[in-house]
Amino acid sequence: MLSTPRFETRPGVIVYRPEGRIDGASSTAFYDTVTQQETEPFKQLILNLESVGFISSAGLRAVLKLARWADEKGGSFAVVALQPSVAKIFDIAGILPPSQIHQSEEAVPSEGDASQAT
Amino acid sequence: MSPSPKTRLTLAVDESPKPAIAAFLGFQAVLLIISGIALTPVIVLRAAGQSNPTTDAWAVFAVLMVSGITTILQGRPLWRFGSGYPLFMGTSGSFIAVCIVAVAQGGLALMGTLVATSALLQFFFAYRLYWFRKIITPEVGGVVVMLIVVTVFPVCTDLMNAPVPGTAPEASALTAGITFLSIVLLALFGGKRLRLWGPFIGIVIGCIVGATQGLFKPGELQSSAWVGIPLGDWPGMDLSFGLDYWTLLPGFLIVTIVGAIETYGDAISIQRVSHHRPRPLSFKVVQNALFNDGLGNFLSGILGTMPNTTYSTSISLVEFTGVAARRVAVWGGSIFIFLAFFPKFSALLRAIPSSVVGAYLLVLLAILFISGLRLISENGLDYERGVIVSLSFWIGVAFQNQVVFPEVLPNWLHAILDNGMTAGGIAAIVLTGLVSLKNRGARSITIPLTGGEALMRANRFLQRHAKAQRWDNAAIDRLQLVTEEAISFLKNQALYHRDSIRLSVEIEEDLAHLELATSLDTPNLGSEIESLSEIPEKPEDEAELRILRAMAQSVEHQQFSGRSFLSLTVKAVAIEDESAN
Repeated sequence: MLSTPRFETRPGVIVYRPEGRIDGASSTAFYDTVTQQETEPFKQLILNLESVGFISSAGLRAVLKLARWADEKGGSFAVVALQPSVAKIFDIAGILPPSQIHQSEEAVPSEGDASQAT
Repeated sequence: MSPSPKTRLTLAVDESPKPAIAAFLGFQAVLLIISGIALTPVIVLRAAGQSNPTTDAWAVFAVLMVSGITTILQGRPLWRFGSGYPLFMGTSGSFIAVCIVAVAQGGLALMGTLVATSALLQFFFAYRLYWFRKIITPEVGGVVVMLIVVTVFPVCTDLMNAPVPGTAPEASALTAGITFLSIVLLALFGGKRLRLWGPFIGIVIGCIVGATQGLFKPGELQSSAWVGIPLGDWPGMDLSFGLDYWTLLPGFLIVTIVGAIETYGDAISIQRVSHHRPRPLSFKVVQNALFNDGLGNFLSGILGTMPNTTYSTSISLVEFTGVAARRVAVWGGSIFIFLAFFPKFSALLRAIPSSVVGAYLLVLLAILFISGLRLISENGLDYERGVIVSLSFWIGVAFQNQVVFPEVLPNWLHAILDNGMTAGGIAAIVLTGLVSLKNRGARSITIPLTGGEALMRANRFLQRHAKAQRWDNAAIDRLQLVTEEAISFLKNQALYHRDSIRLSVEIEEDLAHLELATSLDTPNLGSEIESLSEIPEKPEDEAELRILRAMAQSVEHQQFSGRSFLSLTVKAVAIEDESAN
């Protein structure tokens, strides 16, 4: 079973730290959980996968859909703290650009940094 | 999974040569097999003591008509009849022994009834081919193809050595030797373009040498008519179903299955040599080749002539010429029908000295042997497969040479097993069946494709069996990942989801064999993986394929009409472990 606790670490920065497996059985519920909770605008959506030990292509698609959804909402998106097995699947599928994958929540550039960089 | 190497093909099956080239190649193939096709019914009739000009003429006419129709259908299929590959059809040598007995006991009418009713078994075999997939494997096909070489080899040497009255003793040897050398030298040093003409040039050179030695006998050529239809009448069918019919039927059924195995092997081999890049085998093609073979047998039975089969020389010719265009078969089949009405043309082909035909056949048999070896080695040759192949091949050779208890075996068994292909083929099937019984440790579960519970049930099922084999959680994750991606592929590609998947797993130490059986009509997973580019073009759509390519040790998708079997092997290592492939 997958649980998806939500945290707001800074104003406008939403972090989800799912625990369990994101696979064909849980991916739809995972996506719905996030998108239904975020009714207010946000600057950044961070997915911390530290406690996710398994992801399948269905899970990857859910993550990609979240990235697109965050973009539509005007926020940026990042995944962080991938377990080696999950990192391997991200690497094989090439579904997210490397700029959206980071070592930790702290390593994700803040919105201000990102706009300064551009 | 590593990328497949390119073949040395000039024109693939779906490419079209110029009509003149296709006609020439069709003619060349006909040239090679016409004498065997036309002579086989004559040999049977003579051996059965039923030969006369009228009966012979009808049998040859009918056999050319059936060969023509079924060869055209191989090139241009109609519904399920025809493989879509350049497989030439002609009389089956496997049936000679049983046909001689049938003709001797009840004439062509009894033989026709036996051939037509045996064809029904072939239709069933083709329709339910997947029932036999565990025992009729590429290894069985390979053994049968190699034993065809062993079986036909004496015919080849007999042809080369055939004495011709009024010629010098060394005339046949000289003609055969020069023909053989010409073809071999052209095959080895000729280059692509000359290779195409190699067989024809070799035969022309052989005929010229044969003419200087007095081997070319144009007598029949001069006396035969330019245009004609057979004088004989249709022999009809014996529908009394008497004792003769029932005693001969088992022999016909066994030989029908042997002929079907031969077609099975040919239909696999022709796919291997007919594409620029090797593709996963299509068992629908094999089934359709078998249906067409069955149709040929059925028509042969109705017309009262010898049964049909695919000619393995079709594969050698594709390898030799580098042209696999299906149009060649359409031309070849048309030439068969044309020849049925032009006795002069047939007489010209039959006038080619036997030593020339024998030498030509010798080279092609050598090439055919390689096709058998390829079939055997395509899935790797582990200990069990090695034992099956080696034992059944040598059993076939031993029976062909009649050295296996010749005094003890009853005559009816001799009639069947003295053909090395039959004996070796049966041995290969029996041994493969025994090994598959031994390996029946697979556990299975049927899961519906609708509802979210299906995947969780599959995961629980895999976990239970993998845990029992002491797999750790990381390795089980990999097994579950591969299974989920395979199910996802089948589900996403299918038009209708009102189906279920039968998932079987067999775990041997650090290797799991998965099989997903379904009636979903999907693209071939193996082909889809083969066609992936290095850099993802549509990452979202390709994710399953890329994960399967990286995580499964092997992927094989056998697709039959109405049923498909997806087989995968998974090593017991973690997802992130690079050592699995």
